[in-house]
Amino acid sequence: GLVRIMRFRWDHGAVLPEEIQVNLQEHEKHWFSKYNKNLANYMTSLHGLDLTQNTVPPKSLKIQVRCLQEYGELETESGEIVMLTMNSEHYLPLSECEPLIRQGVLQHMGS
Amino acid sequence: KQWYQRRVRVNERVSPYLQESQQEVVDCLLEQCQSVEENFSRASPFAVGVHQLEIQRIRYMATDYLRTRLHKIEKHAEYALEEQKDQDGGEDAVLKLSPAEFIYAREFHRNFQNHLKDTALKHMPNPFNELKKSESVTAPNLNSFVFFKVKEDINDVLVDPREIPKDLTQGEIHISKFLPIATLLDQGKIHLV
Repeated sequence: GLVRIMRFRWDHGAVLPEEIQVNLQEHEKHWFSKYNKNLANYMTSLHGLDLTQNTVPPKSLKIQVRCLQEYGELETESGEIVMLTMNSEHYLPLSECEPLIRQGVLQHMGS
Repeated sequence: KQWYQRRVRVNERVSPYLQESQQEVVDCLLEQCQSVEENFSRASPFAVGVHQLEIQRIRYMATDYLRTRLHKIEKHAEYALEEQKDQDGGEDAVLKLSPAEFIYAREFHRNFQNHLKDTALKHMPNPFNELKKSESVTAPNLNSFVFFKVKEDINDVLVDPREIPKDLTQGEIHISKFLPIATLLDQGKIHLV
């Protein structure tokens, strides 16, 4: 129970999606919020390193991805705006794609 | 330094319990990353690409290392805090937790205990509504098996208490329970694979 909620923080980020929130009781949300706060506090000592990112060893700077949803606009770090529509394919930096791949929005097209 | 970080990361990954904190190495590497990035504007685009990949690799190693440690802390928070407390003040104190990790462990433990109290324990009658330390500590399994590689010749190692001490030669790979070889790891005579 508690460990599941901790995993949510690592998989979904600091704000839980609606589908998960409606299924949590008050004390579970409380646990999540305390866990989140503690983690955020710890990460301030890491000079900007976000431990929930960089979950896979990088093989190349950019990867080929396919979009699995009607996601909309994505603004990259370089300021470029990419339109992510259903089945669109893109060649994007790994750091941009990684969280979206984890959330199921993008799919890495194997090398 | 990168080679060293790789070694440190694998050791931490494979061992069943926290190794000594190598926070300084991590901090140093990350600082180097930052200074390399600051020089990007002066470098050619090709060089930038190569360096960027390098930096992402270093960042991955550092995050993976810190994550592994954090997950171990979460599993064995009370054990780690007790161990650190017992060491405090000693001259040769080997501090497993970095200062930030110590705070994390303490807060995590406190949140966890409070949660148990608020959800279950307070509804129970005395004397069942307190957590006894001996009952709630989850100790790491120091007897789990690990593979290790020998870095230098060592004589008379008691790898298994039921057998006679063996001589280990540089370059060999062995498997053993973690506890008997833990000191050799601390001394740098072996590393985990």
